[in-house]
Amino acid sequence: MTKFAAHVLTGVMFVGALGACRATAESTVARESSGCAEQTGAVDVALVAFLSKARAVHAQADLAEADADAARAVAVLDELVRAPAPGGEQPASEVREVLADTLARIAELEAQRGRFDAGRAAVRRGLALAVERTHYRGRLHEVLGALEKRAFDELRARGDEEAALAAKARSAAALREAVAIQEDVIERALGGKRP
Amino acid sequence: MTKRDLHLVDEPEPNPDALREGVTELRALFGGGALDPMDHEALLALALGGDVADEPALEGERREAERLRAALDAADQGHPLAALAASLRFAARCDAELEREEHEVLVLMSVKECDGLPSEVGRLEAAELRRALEGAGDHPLAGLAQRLRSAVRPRALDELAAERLLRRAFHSLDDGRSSTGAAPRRAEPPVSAQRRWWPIASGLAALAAGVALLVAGPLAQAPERVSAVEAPQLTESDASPKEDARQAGVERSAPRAAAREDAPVAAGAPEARPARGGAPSGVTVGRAQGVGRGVDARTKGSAPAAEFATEADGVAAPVETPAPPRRFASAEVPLTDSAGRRLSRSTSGLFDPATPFSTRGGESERLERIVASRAADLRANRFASWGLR
Repeated sequence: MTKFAAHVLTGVMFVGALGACRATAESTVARESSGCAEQTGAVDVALVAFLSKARAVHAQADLAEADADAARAVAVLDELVRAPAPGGEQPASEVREVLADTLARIAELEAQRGRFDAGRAAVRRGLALAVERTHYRGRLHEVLGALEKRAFDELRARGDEEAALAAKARSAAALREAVAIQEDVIERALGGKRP
Repeated sequence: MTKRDLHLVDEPEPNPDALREGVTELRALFGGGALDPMDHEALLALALGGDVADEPALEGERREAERLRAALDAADQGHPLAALAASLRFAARCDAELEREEHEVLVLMSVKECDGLPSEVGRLEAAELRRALEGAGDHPLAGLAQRLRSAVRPRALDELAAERLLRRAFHSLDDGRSSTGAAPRRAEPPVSAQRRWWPIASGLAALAAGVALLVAGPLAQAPERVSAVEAPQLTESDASPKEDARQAGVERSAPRAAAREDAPVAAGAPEARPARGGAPSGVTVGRAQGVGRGVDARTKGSAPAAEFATEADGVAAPVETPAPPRRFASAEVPLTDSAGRRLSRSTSGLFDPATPFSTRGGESERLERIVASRAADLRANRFASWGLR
């Protein structure tokens, strides 16, 4: 092999490597800026273990509810949402959705007990997790609407008409949002067509 | 005595000559016409373990069985079936190699009606079967005989066949990187020729790849760029005119993107979309009311928390869950990665979009479905990590 050929080959390989690096860098920037980087974890043992644990916790809550013991049901569910979850500060979609569903259940139970503030707090935490317009987010809004409706009834029974009307307005807004989310879900399922 | 009583017959000592004698006797039986019904029944009992009939034995059968047992006990070969019975029992238990022809005769016996089979026909059949087994001809029983032989005494795989099977199962293995290093390889060019050409070939390949990436890269990345611009979750609080302009540009270039399932805006920027039907969204209501205080510092500014804080009329409960990333594009995430592993993703696809979750209950049923789905994914990922498809 001549010296000339060696130089030519070196140049060729340099150009190729340059192109590859540029494309890779662009791809990386685009992927990171689209927010996909943190979502590419494979399903692993920790995730499935967390989901299994959540299933068991909800089964415990079922038993507590069957005994009409809403406080115990809330307590076991609260342990799940307070415990560390796989993914740390950037949990997997499944973890976020299951936690959001759990928080919706807590909110519903708290509303039954007349603890409206606790219920609202649970909904707020759930909405911070279920940020996509899915059934999970829609359910949180629906639970909130039902909670505010209960608050409205209670406030009106107490004669606090102004607070009651505010609760009624919040209930209506939450339920409208629940309906809008549901329409979005159906729209996506239909490939962009409105139901 | 029923056929079951044959279990009482003691097993004689293995006799290496018994097999040949038994086969000879079998041939004689084939040539001699049909078996006596009693002998036939006794043979069936021997072959099938004595559970042939459940009805009480006839007196004649009982006497016949007693005679057979006595003959076997005395080893005097007095019963006409004693030698055959001993041979058959020995043949079933011993590890001695059968003569090929005898083996084939036994195979024929087991799969064909043997009564009245002329010995010459059997011999011809056996010869034909033997040729078929040697690959020189064809015989309807050749496949069955091969399977029987493989089931009873499978041959060891030769190295090449084993390698092929492994390669088929483990797609990651290839000819040039066998872990054993002992696998046969394809004929390769001389080393000197390799040394001469591989730098040129690799250089040309690198050039082609580089040119392709330089030219096609921007085109291939175009959708991702759109996603990158679409992805920011424009909220009421952080939307800027510049971002609005970028967003508008994206919508002009990809007007259907927001309506697609995989569009990040649709998936991850819920609050940026105006409420339909003229109804103000919670954000609008909250802003008009001037509420929204009490939002935890970690979630302040994020669309969901800010929105709900307005709806909840400023309830200042602590938010303990850390704020999630503002962009979630799980709908964009492919099902598997390049290694074939199934990726974490939204569980929404597991549920009927037309059926919203019930306000009350249903969590356990949903989790059943989620756990089953992701457990299956985990199993698939394990297989993938082992290199299995």
